[in-house]
Amino acid sequence: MSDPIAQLIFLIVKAILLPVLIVLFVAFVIYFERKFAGFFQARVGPTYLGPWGSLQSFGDIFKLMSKEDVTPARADKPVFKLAPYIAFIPAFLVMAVLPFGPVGGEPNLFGYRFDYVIANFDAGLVLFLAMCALGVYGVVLAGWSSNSNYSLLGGLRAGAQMISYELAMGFSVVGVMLMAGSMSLVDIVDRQAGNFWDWYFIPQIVGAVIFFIASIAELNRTPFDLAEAEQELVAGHLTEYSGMRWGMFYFAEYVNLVVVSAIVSTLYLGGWRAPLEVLDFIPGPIWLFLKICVLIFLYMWIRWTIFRYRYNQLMSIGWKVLLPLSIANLAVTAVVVSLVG
Amino acid sequence: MTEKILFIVFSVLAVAGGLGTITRKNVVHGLLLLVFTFLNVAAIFFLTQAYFLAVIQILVYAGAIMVLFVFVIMLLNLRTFEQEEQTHRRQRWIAAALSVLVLVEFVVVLAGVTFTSVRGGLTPETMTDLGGGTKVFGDALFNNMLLPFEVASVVLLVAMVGAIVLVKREKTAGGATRAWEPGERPTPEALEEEV
Repeated sequence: MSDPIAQLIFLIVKAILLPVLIVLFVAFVIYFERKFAGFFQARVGPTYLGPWGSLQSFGDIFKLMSKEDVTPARADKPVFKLAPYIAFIPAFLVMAVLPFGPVGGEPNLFGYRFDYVIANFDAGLVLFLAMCALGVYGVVLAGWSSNSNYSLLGGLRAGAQMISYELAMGFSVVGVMLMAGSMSLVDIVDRQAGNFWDWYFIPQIVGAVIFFIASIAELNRTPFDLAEAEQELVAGHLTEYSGMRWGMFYFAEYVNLVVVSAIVSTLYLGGWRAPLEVLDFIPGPIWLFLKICVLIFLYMWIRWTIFRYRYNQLMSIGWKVLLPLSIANLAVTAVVVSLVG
Repeated sequence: MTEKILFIVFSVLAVAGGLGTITRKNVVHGLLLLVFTFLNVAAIFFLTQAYFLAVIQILVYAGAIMVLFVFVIMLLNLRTFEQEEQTHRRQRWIAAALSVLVLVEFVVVLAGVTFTSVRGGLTPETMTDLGGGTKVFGDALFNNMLLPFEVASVVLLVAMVGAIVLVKREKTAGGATRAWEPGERPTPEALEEEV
């Protein structure tokens, strides 16, 4: 078997396996979200299906699939039916550029070189930002096509919020680009080789915090879940959705959560690298998985602890705090990088 | 061979999306088809291994500009547009003639062009030698094209300042900026501005 054919087979295996594993993982992330919500609010969460209720998500999927799929009579039908898919796709595209282990080097699998990334090209980080930008469409179109005031307001709020926080997110990421001298996620992880004090979250602590806060807003999670503020907007852009179409939005939200956690660990926490060089014998994908789990717990902790902001507070934080801070961070990083290296 | 097939698929989809954009009467459907066209153009960029351009195409056109269009149309609720009578019927012949003229111009100009740069022909191989498409693009933008780049950024800044000036409320006689009109219930934002 020649090398290009082996690489093609590896590519197909990776492109199928990675999304499938993440989707399976998401089923348990949803379970843990409900369980943690229970702990934080002094109740027990799901308990019936499987040991400690751990198969709850699969029960939910069957329930959602058996429910009637209602389309409002005056909705814009093609857009209404397309919106869940539009919300679903961008998160999966980001997986293509996500390195989950070493790339390049010696042959490591059956005498062939197995790269732990689906597509390694020099603009991977920008692809992530582009997919964040496309993520707005799912929410905004769902809100508009439902032809309901609650939905429209929810969609508009979500859209305005995501556009505002995208700026701070983009600027904070440029600091990492400058330090690594590359926009490829593979290179960024390689530049963080060594122990945990070589990771970018120490020199880029301001950028890391800004990126983390902005990513909560991009994920539409509390304290930034204005789009779904149930006291004001019923369920925002999801008001008119039911059955599996609603389930797809719900699912996309958690796929996004996993992917964004993976990106945060790649940019600031050394990606698949071990925290200490002596621990390198444990394979990279396991380290990345552990980091993703820690970050997801952090997102859940914040979600179930902090109250939702008011809309004008949300906009002030985005435009008057995070954006200037991220630009200052970028300027300082640029000066230091050009002086030092 | 695979590349050729993929190129044909994406260009057919892009042209179909473009045709859909100008034939839809529902504005939002038209916009979505335009986004679809942009995504297919980005896919063609990917095929030529111009990754940075491809990603920027998605980020800027599909991600930023079209989202603003969608916003404006949703806020104005232009759905009623589709029922209205089409006006400007006579212009369509002039428009058709002009678009044929532009097409001919494009074909004539592009037929005589070979895509080379200062460093010679840019094939995927030479790009890799020069450090990747992103690096080549950055070099060109900040060395050879620095003046046009700066001019463009100043023009954009002027447009931004202009937009802010146009929507900014006028100052009252006392000199203080009033965030809401007298007799009107102040919004939370206005109250916060006042503080």
